[in-house]
Amino acid sequence: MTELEQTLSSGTSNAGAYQDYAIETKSLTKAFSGREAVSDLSLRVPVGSIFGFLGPNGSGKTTTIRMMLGLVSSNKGDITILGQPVEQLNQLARVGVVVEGPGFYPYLSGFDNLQRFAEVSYPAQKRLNPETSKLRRPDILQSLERVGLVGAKDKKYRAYSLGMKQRLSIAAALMWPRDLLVLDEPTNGLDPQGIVEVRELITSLNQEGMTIFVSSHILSEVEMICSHIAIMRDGVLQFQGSVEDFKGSLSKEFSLVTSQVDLAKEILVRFEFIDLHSCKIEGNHLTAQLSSENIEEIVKTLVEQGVGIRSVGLVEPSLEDAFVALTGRSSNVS
Amino acid sequence: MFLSEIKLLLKRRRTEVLFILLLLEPWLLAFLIYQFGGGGGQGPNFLNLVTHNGIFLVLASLSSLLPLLLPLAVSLVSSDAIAGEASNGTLRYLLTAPVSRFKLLVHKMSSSLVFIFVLSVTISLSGLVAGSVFFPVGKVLLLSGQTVSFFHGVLLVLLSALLVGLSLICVVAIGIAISTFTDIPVGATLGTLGAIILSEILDNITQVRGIWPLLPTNYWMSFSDLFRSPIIFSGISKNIVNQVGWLIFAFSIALAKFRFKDITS
Repeated sequence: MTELEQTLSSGTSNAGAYQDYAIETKSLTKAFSGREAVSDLSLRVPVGSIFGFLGPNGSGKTTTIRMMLGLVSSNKGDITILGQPVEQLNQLARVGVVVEGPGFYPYLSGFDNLQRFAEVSYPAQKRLNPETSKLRRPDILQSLERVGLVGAKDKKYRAYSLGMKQRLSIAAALMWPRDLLVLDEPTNGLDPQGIVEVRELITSLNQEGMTIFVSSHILSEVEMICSHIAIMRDGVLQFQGSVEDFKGSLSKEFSLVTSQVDLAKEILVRFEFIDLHSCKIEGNHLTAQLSSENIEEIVKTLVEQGVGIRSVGLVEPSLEDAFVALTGRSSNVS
Repeated sequence: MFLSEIKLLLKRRRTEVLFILLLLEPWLLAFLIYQFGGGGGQGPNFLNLVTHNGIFLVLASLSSLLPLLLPLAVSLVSSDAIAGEASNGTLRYLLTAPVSRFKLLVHKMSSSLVFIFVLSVTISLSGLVAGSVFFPVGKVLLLSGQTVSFFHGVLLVLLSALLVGLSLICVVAIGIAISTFTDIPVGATLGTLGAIILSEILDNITQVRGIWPLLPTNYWMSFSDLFRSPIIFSGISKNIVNQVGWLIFAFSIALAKFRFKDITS
């Protein structure tokens, strides 16, 4: 357990104060018809972080997010959003949400859709801050401008491409001032350019002071922008903490290039230098988790057994590999 | 929020088409009566009266639309309330907007109620115009034999429009209740329409006479009692009680179901 994790799991004294965590769940559990979708989940999303919520599809991410937003009830546990229990509806007025893809009225234009949501969310904004005034046409146009949809504002939503729909949902989430943004798979359906744009948008919103909670089943999409991550598998939290701690918690990987790669593998396993399950071979390149760190001993043994070595060393594992190791699945297979 | 619901309803092409078709019905009816005459039929025979006085076209239209087409139009709207939002994927965004579930139901209910009254009144106005174009209008001969002035007649016609709107309250209430149980709007529409048709069928089976007063459609035709002098209020007031009862009953079911429902759409 890393130091941060220890402080996180033992730090109950000041936990719950909004200055620390934008989202906090305690022992959150949800079962659908007997099967647990989320088990005993205690998440802590630090204020000001970009928090990557990772896991393969079906690992309980969306159910967790739905519980955080009060859409789905929990069987057990508490959720605190921005320092208040999630049951206090007005809290959600400070949270921008994109959950499980865009949802708009197909028969309305992009502009009319935003206007509809501006109208329905106004009373809650007003309760939160009595000074708030209604969103006028220029405000809505500005939101559309931010995601590059002004040109398509009068087009019916049903004629939008998936990328445009996704952008519209981000625009809707950003219509009001927000303290927290919850984005569930926000890059689904976007082209590479769009993904880069969303990443940049997330980073710049974070720099403005917004805490961002972003889920993804594709690690590489969020790893470069996240300050913290949590990894889910089958409804169970596998890891949470800062990205540095995550990297630090990983042991280095043994890397060997040889033309006799199969022989090398057999020897390494026979002498119990490596764990068979972690061994991967690509062409004449072998990588594996080492059981012993004694690389000299390994090289000596390999040479003695007649394996020619082109190159050998210890490398930092990629986050992707660590992710696979924790979730048991490759992250970019959906 | 309430105005937003009304706008949402009116901006939908489907609602506009429904409106136009229903507003045309009196004109179609007028044309048919003009061509082929009133003929027989059962119940208070408004069709026969139309040729003498165009004002009765309104009643002929309302009573021909009430058994099926009006419930169909209203159930399309009311059953869309929650199921439609769920199937659009907008329900989760409304609830995280945030709008409380209770308020969402109330706004859906009230906008549908406005819809039925606007619908019945505009159909009546359309019928009034069509009636006066095709047929002579003038003093109104009541079903009970007395004659009243034309304006008195128009007033009675508008009152019957309101009573027809009132009769549709049960369709709104049942539609919204059913729409909290499913994410498929068509299913909710058919369920609602099915419930109304079932009620109309039971209303004709004498063996179940005992439950007639509870059926939502039982007093639907009571609006014709307005055209008697003195007006017979027993059916009309029973209809009001019945419709309000269904409203409360169905809304309670909707609220009980929706209040803690897991929104997975």
